[in-house]
Amino acid sequence: MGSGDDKKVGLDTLPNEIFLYICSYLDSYFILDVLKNVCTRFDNILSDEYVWRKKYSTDYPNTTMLFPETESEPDNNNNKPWSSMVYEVEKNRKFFQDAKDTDSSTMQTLVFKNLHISTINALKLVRDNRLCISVSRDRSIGVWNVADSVSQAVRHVYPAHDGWVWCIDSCLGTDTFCTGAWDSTFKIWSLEDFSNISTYKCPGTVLSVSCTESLVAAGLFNAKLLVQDIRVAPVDGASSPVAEHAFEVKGAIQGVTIDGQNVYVASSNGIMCCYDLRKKEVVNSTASLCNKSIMSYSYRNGTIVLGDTGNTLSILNRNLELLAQKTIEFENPLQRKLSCIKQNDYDIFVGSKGFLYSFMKSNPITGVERLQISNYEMSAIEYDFDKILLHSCNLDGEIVMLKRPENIITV
Amino acid sequence: MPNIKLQSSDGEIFTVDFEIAKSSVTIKTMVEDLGLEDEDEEIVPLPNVNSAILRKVIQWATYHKDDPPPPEDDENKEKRTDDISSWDADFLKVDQGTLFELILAANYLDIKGLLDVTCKTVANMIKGKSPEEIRKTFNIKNDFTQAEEEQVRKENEWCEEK
Repeated sequence: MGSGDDKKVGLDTLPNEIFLYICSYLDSYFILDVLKNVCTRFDNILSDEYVWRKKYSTDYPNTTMLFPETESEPDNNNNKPWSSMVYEVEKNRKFFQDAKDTDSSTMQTLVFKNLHISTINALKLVRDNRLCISVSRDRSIGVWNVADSVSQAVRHVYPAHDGWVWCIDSCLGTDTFCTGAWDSTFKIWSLEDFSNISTYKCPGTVLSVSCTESLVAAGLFNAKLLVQDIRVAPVDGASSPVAEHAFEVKGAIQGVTIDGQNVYVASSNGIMCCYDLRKKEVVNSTASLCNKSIMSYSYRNGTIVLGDTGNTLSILNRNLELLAQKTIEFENPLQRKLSCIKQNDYDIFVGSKGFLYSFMKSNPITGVERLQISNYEMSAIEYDFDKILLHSCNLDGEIVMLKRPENIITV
Repeated sequence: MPNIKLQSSDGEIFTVDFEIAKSSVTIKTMVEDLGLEDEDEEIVPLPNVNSAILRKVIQWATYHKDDPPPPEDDENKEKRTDDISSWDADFLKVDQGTLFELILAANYLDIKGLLDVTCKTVANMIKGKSPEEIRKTFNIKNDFTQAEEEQVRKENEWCEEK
Protein backbone atom coordinates (compact mmCIF):
# COMPACT_ATOMS: atom_id res chain seq x y z
CA MET A 1 0.00 0.00 0.00
CA GLY A 2 1.05 3.62 0.32
CA SER A 3 3.40 4.77 -2.34
CA GLY A 4 3.18 1.40 -4.12
CA ASP A 5 3.30 2.53 -7.72
CA ASP A 6 5.41 -0.48 -8.51
CA LYS A 7 3.18 -2.87 -6.59
CA LYS A 8 0.15 -3.45 -8.77
CA VAL A 9 -3.30 -3.89 -7.29
CA GLY A 10 -5.52 -6.19 -9.25
CA LEU A 11 -8.70 -8.21 -9.06
CA ASP A 12 -6.78 -11.14 -7.61
CA THR A 13 -5.10 -9.12 -4.86
CA LEU A 14 -8.05 -7.13 -3.55
CA PRO A 15 -9.03 -7.71 0.08
CA ASN A 16 -11.67 -10.45 0.38
CA GLU A 17 -14.45 -8.15 1.47
CA ILE A 18 -14.00 -5.90 -1.58
CA PHE A 19 -13.80 -8.89 -3.91
CA LEU A 20 -17.06 -10.15 -2.42
CA TYR A 21 -18.62 -6.72 -2.76
CA ILE A 22 -17.87 -6.81 -6.49
CA CYS A 23 -19.38 -10.33 -6.55
CA SER A 24 -22.57 -8.97 -5.06
CA TYR A 25 -23.19 -7.36 -8.46
CA LEU A 26 -22.86 -10.70 -10.26
CA ASP A 27 -25.29 -13.59 -10.63
CA SER A 28 -24.55 -16.40 -8.18
CA TYR A 29 -24.57 -19.10 -10.82
CA PHE A 30 -22.05 -17.12 -12.85
CA ILE A 31 -19.86 -16.81 -9.76
CA LEU A 32 -20.06 -20.56 -9.07
CA ASP A 33 -19.81 -21.71 -12.67
CA VAL A 34 -17.17 -19.32 -13.92
CA LEU A 35 -15.51 -16.95 -11.46
CA LYS A 36 -14.71 -19.73 -8.99
CA ASN A 37 -12.68 -21.47 -11.68
CA VAL A 38 -10.42 -18.55 -12.50
CA CYS A 39 -7.76 -19.13 -9.83
CA THR A 40 -7.25 -20.88 -6.49
CA ARG A 41 -7.74 -17.68 -4.51
CA PHE A 42 -11.21 -17.07 -5.95
CA ASP A 43 -12.00 -20.73 -5.46
CA ASN A 44 -11.03 -20.53 -1.79
CA ILE A 45 -13.02 -17.39 -1.07
CA LEU A 46 -16.10 -18.60 -2.92
CA SER A 47 -16.01 -22.09 -1.41
CA ASP A 48 -16.78 -20.67 2.00
CA GLU A 49 -20.41 -21.52 2.73
CA TYR A 50 -20.58 -18.60 5.14
CA VAL A 51 -20.30 -16.25 2.15
CA TRP A 52 -23.43 -17.78 0.63
CA ARG A 53 -25.32 -17.92 3.87
CA LYS A 54 -24.65 -14.23 4.34
CA LYS A 55 -25.74 -13.47 0.79
CA TYR A 56 -29.00 -15.31 1.38
CA SER A 57 -29.79 -13.37 4.54
CA THR A 58 -28.99 -10.09 2.76
CA ASP A 59 -31.16 -10.94 -0.25
CA TYR A 60 -34.04 -12.33 1.77
CA PRO A 61 -34.13 -10.64 5.16
CA ASN A 62 -36.45 -12.16 7.78
CA THR A 63 -37.01 -15.27 5.68
CA THR A 64 -36.22 -18.82 6.76
CA MET A 65 -35.19 -21.24 4.08
CA LEU A 66 -36.94 -24.60 4.35
CA PHE A 67 -34.08 -26.91 3.47
CA PRO A 68 -34.73 -30.43 2.31
CA GLU A 69 -34.33 -32.59 5.38
CA THR A 70 -31.43 -34.54 3.97
CA GLU A 71 -29.46 -31.32 3.94
CA SER A 72 -30.53 -29.88 7.23
CA GLU A 73 -27.02 -29.86 8.65
CA PRO A 74 -25.12 -27.20 6.76
CA ASP A 75 -21.72 -28.27 8.09
CA ASN A 76 -21.69 -31.82 6.77
CA ASN A 77 -18.69 -32.51 4.62
CA ASN A 78 -19.31 -32.20 0.94
CA ASN A 79 -22.60 -30.60 1.76
CA LYS A 80 -23.01 -27.15 0.33
CA PRO A 81 -26.59 -26.23 1.05
CA TRP A 82 -26.20 -22.47 0.93
CA SER A 83 -24.32 -22.18 -2.33
CA SER A 84 -26.48 -24.89 -3.93
CA MET A 85 -29.58 -23.09 -2.79
CA VAL A 86 -28.54 -19.62 -3.93
CA TYR A 87 -27.37 -21.14 -7.21
CA GLU A 88 -30.60 -22.92 -7.92
CA VAL A 89 -32.90 -20.15 -6.78
CA GLU A 90 -31.13 -17.49 -8.84
CA LYS A 91 -30.83 -19.68 -11.89
CA ASN A 92 -34.51 -20.43 -11.71
CA ARG A 93 -35.37 -16.78 -11.32
CA LYS A 94 -33.25 -15.96 -14.35
CA PHE A 95 -35.04 -18.70 -16.27
CA PHE A 96 -38.38 -17.08 -15.53
CA GLN A 97 -37.12 -13.63 -16.42
CA ASP A 98 -35.72 -14.84 -19.73
CA ALA A 99 -38.92 -16.76 -20.45
CA LYS A 100 -40.91 -13.56 -19.93
CA ASP A 101 -38.81 -11.75 -22.47
CA THR A 102 -40.33 -13.05 -25.66
CA ASP A 103 -37.53 -11.62 -27.77
CA SER A 104 -34.94 -13.42 -25.76
CA SER A 105 -32.60 -15.63 -27.70
CA THR A 106 -31.71 -17.38 -24.47
CA MET A 107 -35.03 -19.21 -24.37
CA GLN A 108 -36.52 -21.69 -26.74
CA THR A 109 -40.18 -22.69 -26.88
CA LEU A 110 -41.03 -26.08 -28.30
CA VAL A 111 -44.53 -27.42 -28.83
CA PHE A 112 -45.22 -31.15 -28.80
CA LYS A 113 -48.51 -32.01 -30.45
CA ASN A 114 -50.48 -34.12 -32.94
CA LEU A 115 -50.70 -37.06 -30.64
CA HIS A 116 -53.17 -36.57 -27.80
CA ILE A 117 -56.68 -35.47 -28.62
CA SER A 118 -57.70 -34.60 -25.10
CA THR A 119 -56.39 -33.14 -21.85
CA ILE A 120 -53.09 -34.40 -20.52
CA ASN A 121 -53.31 -35.10 -16.81
CA ALA A 122 -49.72 -35.76 -15.94
CA LEU A 123 -46.20 -35.55 -17.32
CA LYS A 124 -43.11 -37.40 -16.19
CA LEU A 125 -39.50 -36.98 -17.27
CA VAL A 126 -37.58 -40.26 -17.48
CA ARG A 127 -34.31 -41.62 -18.85
CA ASP A 128 -32.08 -38.83 -17.48
CA ASN A 129 -34.79 -36.37 -18.44
CA ARG A 130 -34.29 -37.06 -22.12
CA LEU A 131 -37.77 -38.49 -22.51
CA CYS A 132 -41.10 -37.20 -21.28
CA ILE A 133 -44.14 -39.41 -20.84
CA SER A 134 -47.62 -37.90 -21.02
CA VAL A 135 -50.84 -39.53 -19.86
CA SER A 136 -54.16 -38.29 -21.19
CA ARG A 137 -57.92 -38.48 -20.96
CA ASP A 138 -57.82 -39.90 -24.47
CA ARG A 139 -56.77 -43.17 -22.80
CA SER A 140 -53.36 -43.10 -24.32
CA ILE A 141 -49.75 -42.62 -23.25
CA GLY A 142 -47.39 -40.44 -25.26
CA VAL A 143 -43.62 -40.62 -25.20
CA TRP A 144 -41.59 -37.64 -26.35
CA ASN A 145 -37.98 -36.94 -27.04
CA VAL A 146 -37.29 -33.71 -25.15
CA ALA A 147 -33.50 -33.76 -25.33
CA ASP A 148 -33.12 -32.31 -28.80
CA SER A 149 -34.18 -29.05 -30.32
CA VAL A 150 -36.92 -30.62 -32.39
CA SER A 151 -40.20 -31.69 -30.87
CA GLN A 152 -40.65 -35.31 -31.61
CA ALA A 153 -43.03 -38.10 -30.53
CA VAL A 154 -41.23 -41.36 -29.92
CA ARG A 155 -44.18 -43.57 -29.14
CA HIS A 156 -47.96 -43.54 -28.80
CA VAL A 157 -49.53 -46.26 -26.70
CA TYR A 158 -53.23 -46.44 -27.53
CA PRO A 159 -55.35 -47.60 -25.88
CA ALA A 160 -53.28 -47.76 -22.73
CA HIS A 161 -56.24 -47.97 -20.36
CA ASP A 162 -60.01 -48.32 -20.68
CA GLY A 163 -60.56 -44.94 -19.07
CA TRP A 164 -58.91 -41.57 -18.52
CA VAL A 165 -55.24 -42.08 -17.73
CA TRP A 166 -54.74 -39.90 -14.69
CA CYS A 167 -51.35 -40.36 -13.06
CA ILE A 168 -47.83 -41.66 -13.60
CA ASP A 169 -44.70 -42.43 -11.63
CA SER A 170 -41.45 -44.04 -12.62
CA CYS A 171 -40.31 -47.08 -10.66
CA LEU A 172 -36.99 -46.31 -8.98
CA GLY A 173 -34.06 -48.38 -10.06
CA THR A 174 -35.99 -50.37 -12.61
CA ASP A 175 -36.67 -49.77 -16.24
CA THR A 176 -40.39 -49.50 -15.70
CA PHE A 177 -43.08 -46.96 -14.95
CA CYS A 178 -46.60 -47.10 -13.63
CA THR A 179 -49.84 -45.41 -14.74
CA GLY A 180 -53.16 -45.17 -12.93
CA ALA A 181 -56.54 -44.64 -14.56
CA TRP A 182 -60.32 -44.28 -14.26
CA ASP A 183 -60.70 -47.90 -15.37
CA SER A 184 -59.77 -48.82 -11.77
CA THR A 185 -56.43 -50.29 -12.66
CA PHE A 186 -52.82 -49.37 -12.53
CA LYS A 187 -50.42 -50.76 -15.05
CA ILE A 188 -46.70 -51.37 -15.13
CA TRP A 189 -44.94 -50.57 -18.39
CA SER A 190 -41.50 -51.21 -19.77
CA LEU A 191 -39.35 -48.17 -20.49
CA GLU A 192 -37.49 -50.25 -23.07
CA ASP A 193 -40.28 -50.90 -25.52
CA PHE A 194 -43.31 -49.34 -23.73
CA SER A 195 -45.06 -52.69 -23.58
CA ASN A 196 -47.51 -53.48 -20.78
CA ILE A 197 -45.84 -55.75 -18.21
CA SER A 198 -48.69 -56.19 -15.76
CA THR A 199 -52.09 -54.83 -14.80
CA TYR A 200 -53.46 -54.58 -11.25
CA LYS A 201 -57.16 -54.17 -10.53
CA CYS A 202 -58.06 -51.68 -7.81
CA PRO A 203 -61.30 -51.21 -5.87
CA GLY A 204 -61.86 -47.75 -7.38
CA THR A 205 -60.62 -45.07 -9.75
CA VAL A 206 -56.86 -44.53 -9.44
CA LEU A 207 -56.03 -40.84 -8.99
CA SER A 208 -52.44 -41.12 -7.79
CA VAL A 209 -49.60 -43.63 -7.86
CA SER A 210 -46.20 -43.80 -6.22
CA CYS A 211 -43.53 -46.40 -6.95
CA THR A 212 -40.43 -47.84 -5.38
CA GLU A 213 -38.35 -50.69 -6.74
CA SER A 214 -40.82 -53.26 -5.47
CA LEU A 215 -44.00 -51.47 -4.41
CA VAL A 216 -46.72 -49.36 -5.95
CA ALA A 217 -49.09 -47.35 -3.79
CA ALA A 218 -52.33 -46.30 -5.46
CA GLY A 219 -54.55 -43.55 -4.05
CA LEU A 220 -58.15 -43.97 -5.08
CA PHE A 221 -61.10 -41.70 -5.72
CA ASN A 222 -63.10 -43.48 -3.00
CA ALA A 223 -60.62 -42.62 -0.21
CA LYS A 224 -58.88 -45.98 -0.34
CA LEU A 225 -55.20 -46.72 -0.41
CA LEU A 226 -53.86 -49.86 -2.02
CA VAL A 227 -50.23 -51.02 -1.88
CA GLN A 228 -49.09 -53.86 -4.14
CA ASP A 229 -45.83 -55.75 -4.39
CA ILE A 230 -45.18 -55.55 -8.11
CA ARG A 231 -42.60 -58.32 -8.01
CA VAL A 232 -45.56 -60.65 -7.56
CA ALA A 233 -47.26 -61.01 -10.91
CA PRO A 234 -51.01 -60.62 -10.73
CA VAL A 235 -53.25 -63.50 -11.84
CA ASP A 236 -56.02 -62.11 -13.99
CA GLY A 237 -55.40 -58.64 -12.53
CA ALA A 238 -55.69 -59.87 -8.96
CA SER A 239 -52.94 -60.11 -6.42
CA SER A 240 -53.17 -59.94 -2.67
CA PRO A 241 -52.12 -56.44 -1.66
CA VAL A 242 -49.37 -55.62 0.79
CA ALA A 243 -51.75 -53.17 2.39
CA GLU A 244 -55.23 -51.88 1.83
CA HIS A 245 -56.79 -49.10 3.84
CA ALA A 246 -60.04 -47.19 3.68
CA PHE A 247 -59.66 -43.76 5.23
CA GLU A 248 -62.33 -42.63 7.63
CA VAL A 249 -62.31 -39.12 6.29
CA LYS A 250 -63.88 -39.39 2.87
CA GLY A 251 -62.04 -37.53 0.19
CA ALA A 252 -60.46 -38.52 -3.08
CA ILE A 253 -56.77 -39.28 -2.68
CA GLN A 254 -55.11 -36.64 -4.83
CA GLY A 255 -51.56 -37.53 -3.98
CA VAL A 256 -49.64 -40.47 -2.60
CA THR A 257 -45.94 -41.13 -1.92
CA ILE A 258 -44.11 -44.16 -0.55
CA ASP A 259 -41.08 -43.14 1.50
CA GLY A 260 -39.55 -46.09 3.35
CA GLN A 261 -42.23 -47.64 5.49
CA ASN A 262 -44.38 -44.53 5.34
CA VAL A 263 -47.04 -43.81 2.77
CA TYR A 264 -48.08 -40.16 2.62
CA VAL A 265 -51.60 -39.54 1.46
CA ALA A 266 -53.14 -36.20 0.47
CA SER A 267 -56.89 -36.21 0.64
CA SER A 268 -58.96 -33.76 -1.37
CA ASN A 269 -60.74 -32.64 1.81
CA GLY A 270 -57.55 -30.96 3.01
CA ILE A 271 -56.13 -33.64 5.29
CA MET A 272 -52.68 -35.21 5.03
CA CYS A 273 -52.14 -38.66 6.54
CA CYS A 274 -49.16 -40.90 7.05
CA TYR A 275 -49.85 -44.63 6.83
CA ASP A 276 -47.28 -47.04 8.26
CA LEU A 277 -46.72 -50.10 6.09
CA ARG A 278 -45.43 -52.22 8.97
CA LYS A 279 -48.03 -51.29 11.55
CA LYS A 280 -50.70 -51.23 8.83
CA GLU A 281 -52.35 -48.18 10.30
CA VAL A 282 -52.47 -44.43 10.05
CA VAL A 283 -49.77 -43.13 12.38
CA ASN A 284 -50.10 -39.42 11.78
CA SER A 285 -52.58 -37.00 10.30
CA THR A 286 -53.23 -33.29 10.16
CA ALA A 287 -56.25 -31.21 10.92
CA SER A 288 -57.86 -29.81 7.81
CA LEU A 289 -55.24 -27.63 6.15
CA CYS A 290 -57.69 -25.59 4.16
CA ASN A 291 -61.40 -25.09 3.87
CA LYS A 292 -61.26 -25.79 0.14
CA SER A 293 -60.30 -28.91 -1.74
CA ILE A 294 -56.75 -30.03 -2.25
CA MET A 295 -56.12 -30.18 -5.94
CA SER A 296 -52.41 -30.66 -6.37
CA TYR A 297 -49.69 -32.43 -4.45
CA SER A 298 -45.95 -32.80 -4.61
CA TYR A 299 -43.48 -34.71 -2.45
CA ARG A 300 -39.71 -34.50 -2.50
CA ASN A 301 -37.15 -35.54 0.13
CA GLY A 302 -39.57 -35.19 3.01
CA THR A 303 -41.10 -31.91 1.86
CA ILE A 304 -44.78 -31.94 0.98
CA VAL A 305 -46.37 -29.14 -1.03
CA LEU A 306 -50.12 -28.87 -1.45
CA GLY A 307 -52.23 -26.58 -3.60
CA ASP A 308 -55.95 -26.14 -3.15
CA THR A 309 -58.96 -24.68 -4.94
CA GLY A 310 -58.78 -21.52 -2.83
CA ASN A 311 -55.36 -20.31 -3.97
CA THR A 312 -53.58 -21.54 -0.87
CA LEU A 313 -50.19 -23.17 -1.00
CA SER A 314 -49.04 -25.21 2.02
CA ILE A 315 -45.62 -26.67 2.81
CA LEU A 316 -45.28 -29.51 5.33
CA ASN A 317 -42.42 -31.67 6.52
CA ARG A 318 -42.41 -35.45 6.83
CA ASN A 319 -43.83 -35.18 10.35
CA LEU A 320 -46.79 -33.40 8.75
CA GLU A 321 -45.99 -30.16 10.54
CA LEU A 322 -47.14 -27.12 8.61
CA LEU A 323 -44.00 -25.08 7.84
CA ALA A 324 -45.43 -22.31 5.71
CA GLN A 325 -48.62 -21.32 4.03
CA LYS A 326 -49.47 -18.64 1.52
CA THR A 327 -52.63 -17.56 -0.19
CA ILE A 328 -51.79 -16.22 -3.60
CA GLU A 329 -53.51 -13.04 -4.68
CA PHE A 330 -54.74 -13.23 -8.23
CA GLU A 331 -55.89 -10.30 -10.32
CA ASN A 332 -58.66 -12.42 -11.76
CA PRO A 333 -61.02 -13.46 -8.95
CA LEU A 334 -62.20 -16.47 -10.94
CA GLN A 335 -58.71 -17.87 -10.93
CA ARG A 336 -58.66 -19.76 -7.70
CA LYS A 337 -57.24 -23.17 -8.36
CA LEU A 338 -53.69 -24.26 -7.91
CA SER A 339 -54.03 -27.10 -10.35
CA CYS A 340 -50.55 -28.59 -10.55
CA ILE A 341 -47.37 -28.44 -8.50
CA LYS A 342 -43.81 -29.51 -9.01
CA GLN A 343 -40.93 -28.90 -6.63
CA ASN A 344 -37.20 -29.20 -6.77
CA ASP A 345 -34.89 -28.82 -3.80
CA TYR A 346 -35.40 -25.11 -3.24
CA ASP A 347 -38.21 -23.92 -5.47
CA ILE A 348 -41.87 -24.68 -6.03
CA PHE A 349 -43.61 -24.37 -9.39
CA VAL A 350 -47.34 -23.92 -9.38
CA GLY A 351 -49.65 -24.01 -12.39
CA SER A 352 -52.91 -22.14 -12.25
CA LYS A 353 -55.34 -20.75 -14.74
CA GLY A 354 -53.18 -19.22 -17.41
CA PHE A 355 -50.13 -18.68 -15.23
CA LEU A 356 -47.10 -20.50 -14.02
CA TYR A 357 -45.67 -19.32 -10.70
CA SER A 358 -42.46 -20.08 -8.94
CA PHE A 359 -41.86 -19.65 -5.24
CA MET A 360 -38.94 -20.20 -2.95
CA LYS A 361 -39.30 -22.89 -0.29
CA SER A 362 -39.15 -20.54 2.63
CA ASN A 363 -41.14 -19.14 5.49
CA PRO A 364 -42.76 -16.84 4.60
CA ILE A 365 -43.11 -18.27 1.11
CA THR A 366 -41.39 -15.69 -1.03
CA GLY A 367 -39.44 -14.98 -4.24
CA VAL A 368 -42.45 -14.99 -6.51
CA GLU A 369 -41.98 -15.10 -10.26
CA ARG A 370 -44.88 -15.31 -12.67
CA LEU A 371 -45.18 -16.32 -16.28
CA GLN A 372 -48.28 -16.06 -18.42
CA ILE A 373 -48.77 -19.20 -20.48
CA SER A 374 -52.34 -19.20 -21.80
CA ASN A 375 -55.85 -18.36 -20.73
CA TYR A 376 -56.60 -21.89 -19.70
CA GLU A 377 -56.04 -24.03 -16.69
CA MET A 378 -52.77 -25.85 -16.47
CA SER A 379 -53.21 -29.52 -15.71
CA ALA A 380 -49.73 -30.94 -15.84
CA ILE A 381 -46.24 -29.69 -15.19
CA GLU A 382 -42.79 -31.23 -15.20
CA TYR A 383 -39.50 -29.49 -14.47
CA ASP A 384 -35.85 -30.12 -14.98
CA PHE A 385 -32.98 -27.70 -14.57
CA ASP A 386 -33.39 -25.20 -17.40
CA LYS A 387 -36.41 -26.96 -18.80
CA ILE A 388 -40.11 -26.60 -18.01
CA LEU A 389 -42.84 -28.67 -19.63
CA LEU A 390 -46.49 -27.98 -19.16
CA HIS A 391 -49.92 -28.61 -20.53
CA SER A 392 -52.86 -26.22 -20.55
CA CYS A 393 -56.30 -27.72 -20.95
CA ASN A 394 -57.35 -25.99 -24.13
CA LEU A 395 -54.50 -26.88 -26.31
CA ASP A 396 -55.76 -30.17 -27.70
CA GLY A 397 -53.14 -32.25 -26.07
CA GLU A 398 -50.26 -29.89 -26.71
CA ILE A 399 -47.25 -29.87 -24.45
CA VAL A 400 -45.30 -26.64 -24.32
CA MET A 401 -41.66 -26.82 -23.36
CA LEU A 402 -39.57 -23.81 -22.40
CA LYS A 403 -35.90 -24.57 -22.41
CA ARG A 404 -32.46 -23.13 -22.77
CA PRO A 405 -30.97 -23.72 -26.19
CA GLU A 406 -28.05 -26.11 -25.74
CA ASN A 407 -25.39 -23.65 -26.87
CA ILE A 408 -26.34 -20.91 -24.38
CA ILE A 409 -25.08 -22.61 -21.25
CA THR A 410 -21.56 -21.36 -20.80
CA VAL A 411 -19.33 -23.09 -18.32
CA MET B 1 -14.50 25.47 8.96
CA PRO B 2 -14.84 25.77 5.22
CA ASN B 3 -11.60 24.07 4.23
CA ILE B 4 -9.58 21.10 5.31
CA LYS B 5 -6.06 20.03 4.43
CA LEU B 6 -5.51 16.45 3.35
CA GLN B 7 -2.06 14.95 3.02
CA SER B 8 -1.48 12.06 0.63
CA SER B 9 0.93 9.20 1.29
CA ASP B 10 3.57 10.86 -0.89
CA GLY B 11 3.32 14.08 1.06
CA GLU B 12 1.25 16.29 -1.22
CA ILE B 13 -1.25 18.53 0.57
CA PHE B 14 -4.72 19.18 -0.86
CA THR B 15 -6.97 21.93 0.45
CA VAL B 16 -10.58 20.81 0.16
CA ASP B 17 -13.94 22.25 1.12
CA PHE B 18 -14.97 20.36 4.24
CA GLU B 19 -18.46 19.89 2.84
CA ILE B 20 -16.88 17.93 0.00
CA ALA B 21 -14.37 16.05 2.16
CA LYS B 22 -17.25 14.98 4.40
CA SER B 23 -18.48 12.53 1.77
CA SER B 24 -15.69 10.39 3.18
CA VAL B 25 -17.06 8.96 6.39
CA THR B 26 -13.50 8.25 7.50
CA ILE B 27 -12.45 11.92 7.17
CA LYS B 28 -15.71 13.16 8.66
CA THR B 29 -15.31 10.92 11.72
CA MET B 30 -11.65 11.77 12.10
CA VAL B 31 -12.30 15.51 12.00
CA GLU B 32 -15.23 15.33 14.39
CA ASP B 33 -13.55 12.95 16.82
CA LEU B 34 -10.37 14.97 16.95
CA GLY B 35 -12.30 18.21 17.19
CA LEU B 36 -10.57 19.67 14.15
CA GLU B 37 -13.63 21.62 12.95
CA ASP B 38 -12.17 24.89 14.14
CA GLU B 39 -8.57 24.20 13.27
CA ASP B 40 -7.76 25.68 9.91
CA GLU B 41 -4.13 24.69 9.95
CA GLU B 42 -4.51 21.08 11.03
CA ILE B 43 -3.48 18.54 8.39
CA VAL B 44 -5.30 15.20 8.06
CA PRO B 45 -2.83 12.52 6.97
CA LEU B 46 -4.08 9.83 4.60
CA PRO B 47 -1.20 7.35 4.53
CA ASN B 48 -3.10 4.86 2.40
CA VAL B 49 -3.83 7.11 -0.57
CA ASN B 50 -1.27 8.53 -2.98
CA SER B 51 -1.60 11.96 -4.56
CA ALA B 52 -2.72 10.76 -8.00
CA ILE B 53 -5.57 8.75 -6.51
CA LEU B 54 -6.47 11.38 -3.92
CA ARG B 55 -6.74 13.95 -6.72
CA LYS B 56 -9.19 11.66 -8.55
CA VAL B 57 -11.19 11.04 -5.37
CA ILE B 58 -11.49 14.77 -4.72
CA GLN B 59 -12.53 15.32 -8.32
CA TRP B 60 -15.25 12.68 -7.95
CA ALA B 61 -16.45 14.00 -4.59
CA THR B 62 -16.57 17.58 -5.92
CA TYR B 63 -18.76 16.60 -8.85
CA HIS B 64 -21.06 14.58 -6.61
CA LYS B 65 -21.18 17.03 -3.69
CA ASP B 66 -24.89 17.75 -4.11
CA ASP B 67 -25.93 14.11 -4.51
CA PRO B 68 -28.51 12.82 -2.07
CA PRO B 69 -26.93 10.52 0.50
CA PRO B 70 -26.81 6.92 -0.79
CA PRO B 71 -29.52 4.60 0.58
CA GLU B 72 -28.55 3.11 3.95
CA ASP B 73 -28.14 -0.50 3.05
CA ASP B 74 -28.94 -2.93 0.34
CA GLU B 75 -32.69 -2.75 0.42
CA ASN B 76 -32.89 -2.83 -3.35
CA LYS B 77 -32.74 -6.49 -4.23
CA GLU B 78 -31.91 -6.20 -7.89
CA LYS B 79 -28.34 -5.08 -7.99
CA ARG B 80 -28.12 -3.22 -11.25
CA THR B 81 -24.86 -2.44 -12.93
CA ASP B 82 -26.26 -0.67 -15.98
CA ASP B 83 -27.11 2.52 -14.10
CA ILE B 84 -23.68 4.17 -14.15
CA SER B 85 -24.00 7.83 -15.15
CA SER B 86 -22.13 8.99 -18.25
CA TRP B 87 -20.01 11.34 -16.17
CA ASP B 88 -18.95 8.49 -13.91
CA ALA B 89 -18.34 6.23 -16.90
CA ASP B 90 -16.03 8.87 -18.41
CA PHE B 91 -14.39 9.49 -15.05
CA LEU B 92 -13.63 5.79 -14.73
CA LYS B 93 -12.04 5.43 -18.15
CA VAL B 94 -8.70 4.79 -16.50
CA ASP B 95 -6.19 2.00 -16.49
CA GLN B 96 -6.97 -1.02 -14.35
CA GLY B 97 -4.33 -0.17 -11.74
CA THR B 98 -5.97 3.22 -11.15
CA LEU B 99 -9.45 1.66 -11.03
CA PHE B 100 -8.42 -0.81 -8.33
CA GLU B 101 -6.52 1.90 -6.42
CA LEU B 102 -9.71 3.96 -6.51
CA ILE B 103 -11.66 1.01 -5.09
CA LEU B 104 -9.15 0.63 -2.26
CA ALA B 105 -9.25 4.36 -1.58
CA ALA B 106 -13.06 4.47 -1.65
CA ASN B 107 -13.09 1.55 0.77
CA TYR B 108 -10.51 3.10 3.11
CA LEU B 109 -12.08 6.55 3.00
CA ASP B 110 -15.55 4.99 3.29
CA ILE B 111 -17.18 6.73 0.32
CA LYS B 112 -20.06 4.44 -0.51
CA GLY B 113 -21.07 6.16 -3.75
CA LEU B 114 -17.56 5.87 -5.22
CA LEU B 115 -17.13 2.30 -3.98
CA ASP B 116 -20.42 1.30 -5.61
CA VAL B 117 -19.69 2.82 -8.98
CA THR B 118 -16.14 1.46 -9.16
CA CYS B 119 -17.19 -2.04 -8.11
CA LYS B 120 -20.03 -1.98 -10.64
CA THR B 121 -17.51 -1.05 -13.31
CA VAL B 122 -15.35 -4.04 -12.42
CA ALA B 123 -18.43 -6.31 -12.29
CA ASN B 124 -19.28 -5.19 -15.82
CA MET B 125 -15.77 -6.10 -16.93
CA ILE B 126 -16.25 -9.62 -15.51
CA LYS B 127 -19.80 -10.32 -16.64
CA GLY B 128 -20.42 -12.83 -19.40
CA LYS B 129 -16.77 -13.84 -19.73
CA SER B 130 -15.27 -17.30 -19.52
CA PRO B 131 -12.67 -18.14 -16.85
CA GLU B 132 -9.93 -17.82 -19.48
CA GLU B 133 -11.23 -14.44 -20.67
CA ILE B 134 -11.34 -13.20 -17.07
CA ARG B 135 -7.74 -14.32 -16.52
CA LYS B 136 -6.72 -12.49 -19.65
CA THR B 137 -8.63 -9.30 -18.83
CA PHE B 138 -7.22 -9.04 -15.32
CA ASN B 139 -3.84 -10.64 -15.91
CA ILE B 140 -4.49 -13.48 -13.48
CA LYS B 141 -2.44 -16.65 -13.54
CA ASN B 142 -4.27 -19.95 -13.71
CA ASP B 143 -2.67 -21.53 -10.65
CA PHE B 144 -4.81 -24.66 -10.46
CA THR B 145 -2.86 -27.87 -10.79
CA GLN B 146 -4.20 -30.28 -13.33
CA ALA B 147 -5.59 -32.47 -10.55
CA GLU B 148 -7.27 -29.48 -8.95
CA GLU B 149 -8.90 -28.49 -12.21
CA GLU B 150 -10.21 -32.02 -12.48
CA GLN B 151 -11.60 -31.73 -8.94
CA VAL B 152 -13.20 -28.35 -9.60
CA ARG B 153 -14.90 -29.81 -12.64
CA LYS B 154 -16.18 -32.72 -10.55
CA GLU B 155 -17.48 -30.44 -7.84
CA ASN B 156 -19.33 -28.40 -10.40
CA GLU B 157 -20.99 -31.37 -11.96
CA TRP B 158 -23.92 -31.28 -9.60
CA CYS B 159 -25.02 -28.00 -11.13
CA GLU B 160 -25.19 -29.51 -14.57
CA GLU B 161 -26.75 -32.77 -13.49
CA LYS B 162 -29.82 -31.16 -12.02
